[in-house]
Amino acid sequence: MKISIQDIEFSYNGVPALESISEKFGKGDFIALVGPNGSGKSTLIKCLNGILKVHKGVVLIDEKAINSLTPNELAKEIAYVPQSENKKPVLTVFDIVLLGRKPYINWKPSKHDLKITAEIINLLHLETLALKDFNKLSGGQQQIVYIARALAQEPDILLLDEPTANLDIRHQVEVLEILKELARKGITIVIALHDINIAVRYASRIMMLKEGKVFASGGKEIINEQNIENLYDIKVKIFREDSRIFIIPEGI
Amino acid sequence: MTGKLVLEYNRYLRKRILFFLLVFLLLVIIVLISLVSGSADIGFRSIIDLVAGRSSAFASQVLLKIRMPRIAGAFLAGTSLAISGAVFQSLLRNPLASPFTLGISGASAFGAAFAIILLGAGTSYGGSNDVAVINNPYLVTISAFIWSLASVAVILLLSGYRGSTPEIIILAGIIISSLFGAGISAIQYFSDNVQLASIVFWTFGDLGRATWSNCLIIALVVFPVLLFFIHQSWNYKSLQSGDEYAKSLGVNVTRVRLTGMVVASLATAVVTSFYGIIAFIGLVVPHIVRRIIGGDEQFLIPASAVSGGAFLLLSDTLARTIISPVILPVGILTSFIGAPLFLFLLIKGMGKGFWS
Ligand SMILES: Nc1ncnc2c1ncn2[C@@H]1O[C@H](COP(=O)(O)OP(=O)(O)OP(=O)(O)O)[C@@H](O)[C@H]1O
Ligand SMILES: [Mg+2]
Repeated sequence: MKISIQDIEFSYNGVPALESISEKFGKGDFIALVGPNGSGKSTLIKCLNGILKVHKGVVLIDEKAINSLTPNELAKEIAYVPQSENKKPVLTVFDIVLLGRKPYINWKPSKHDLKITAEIINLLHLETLALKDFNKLSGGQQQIVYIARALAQEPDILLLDEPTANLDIRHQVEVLEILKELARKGITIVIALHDINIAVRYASRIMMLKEGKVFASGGKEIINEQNIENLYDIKVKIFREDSRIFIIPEGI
Repeated sequence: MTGKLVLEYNRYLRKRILFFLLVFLLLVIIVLISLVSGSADIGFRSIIDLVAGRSSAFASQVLLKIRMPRIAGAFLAGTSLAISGAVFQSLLRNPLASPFTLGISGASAFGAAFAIILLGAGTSYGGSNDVAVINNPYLVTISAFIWSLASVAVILLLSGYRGSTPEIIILAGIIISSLFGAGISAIQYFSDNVQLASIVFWTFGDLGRATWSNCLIIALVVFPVLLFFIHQSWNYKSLQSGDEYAKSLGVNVTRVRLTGMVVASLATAVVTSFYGIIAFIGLVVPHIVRRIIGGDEQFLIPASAVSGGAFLLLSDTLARTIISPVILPVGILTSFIGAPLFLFLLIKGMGKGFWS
């Protein structure tokens, strides 16, 4: 699904967090949002699925304004993996992944809902944890469950806020490979990332945010020393090998 | 592969259904015990006779006019309070929430007393068995409901504030309770002696006031409310992960919370307006059920419904027989059992995540 962001603005109690952001993403794009802490990545993600109502401008998915859709219709199109959830549900892993089917469930889940839940659990290798109490899982395991829950929603657009922050490198790669595969199938992925090397390696588009504004946006060509140094205010060295790019922080 | 997992999950769910059936069986047993306990000498024989249509006039009077409505009233009131408690806990994500601890029972009791004394919805007789005769039960219930909404408004307003902890909300509930308690005292102060005797009741829930007609009114509220809550259970489950995530699942958080709170207070108000304040059932029952079958509202709500009914009926049967021939108001008994349990939960929850 296409996403079109048209000149949006958002502020928290009068303090601007996003200013004049305009951007267009196509079906199957893999967009990495990067930028320093507090630059507005999470806020932008929440504006894209209507958790936060923009104060100016409009967000369109496939030419339809998101606020013209009912919350349930929107939930069938867009799934969201929050940055951190301090509210821990008292449910089993299976129940939580099944919760992703909520937009399709009225009174009780269908056989189809259960089947999809089981498939996603297998895809992310959570079988052995499926009937465990969610609160007894490690931080990284919980994060994978959140990703599974979003996948169970069968969205056309997947928004992920730092989904790999708690994961070991093997799980990071595993999750990103799954996301890449989903993008190949036509799902649009928007992911906030701190690891700029991972962002460069997996994303088809990179959007740099600084102080609530778009600092730079485009393909891999925007990755250069000057942009990164200005974005994060540190010194970096960039190595290129074949088509791959490595960014190494040098010092402040 | 996926088939196996679904099968395992279904087997796991079967445990919850088993719990439900077990409580149901327990309920049947408690009903039977309750039917044969009391000061009048009526045994299982009389029940069989009654079913066969050959019981004595006295036995059928006692069973049909006194014991059965009381049993039905206890079950309905317990159900109503337990499901309201479960839903308040889910909606506010607050394990200490319940009709009583949020001050909603207190507000309802005030509303009922208000209607009876000031709006003239009831007349009361003095004497040894002082009873308030409610002439207009609808007015009493409506008044109880409207006043209960006042405390809902305060709770919702407070929980909207950032940094309001579960404990602060409950503190507010206790303050609301004592405020309405003072309100009831004020009404008592200005009413004559005969009326006075009758409203003292409201502060101690008593199922002796159960009649078939008030059971019917409560049933007409409680069953639709139960269906509504079961229908909403997926919304409530989504709220467990926080408001933002629930929104991303398509839940209209404000509306779900508001309607849920209002409907739960209606269920509380209708019970309180007829039987008075019955404390702690709405707090303790959902807690025990949660502990046994987990926090999934889809199962928690129906299981709390049956458990709440069974628990209150058991308490009332105890209250009737424990110091026989004196019949203790059940509200006193549930307070004696509930208060220490509440304290226990409070201490256990101190300084850590409440739910786990
Ligand atoms: N709930 C809130 N209330 C008030 N201000 C907020 C709130 N959430 C975020 N902000 C402010 O908005 C700005 C953007 O925050 P946001 O969470 O979008 O940043 P971020 O890029 O996701 O940061 P991080 O990398 O640390 O996750 C920050 O200045 C932050 O202080
Ligand atoms: Mg963030």
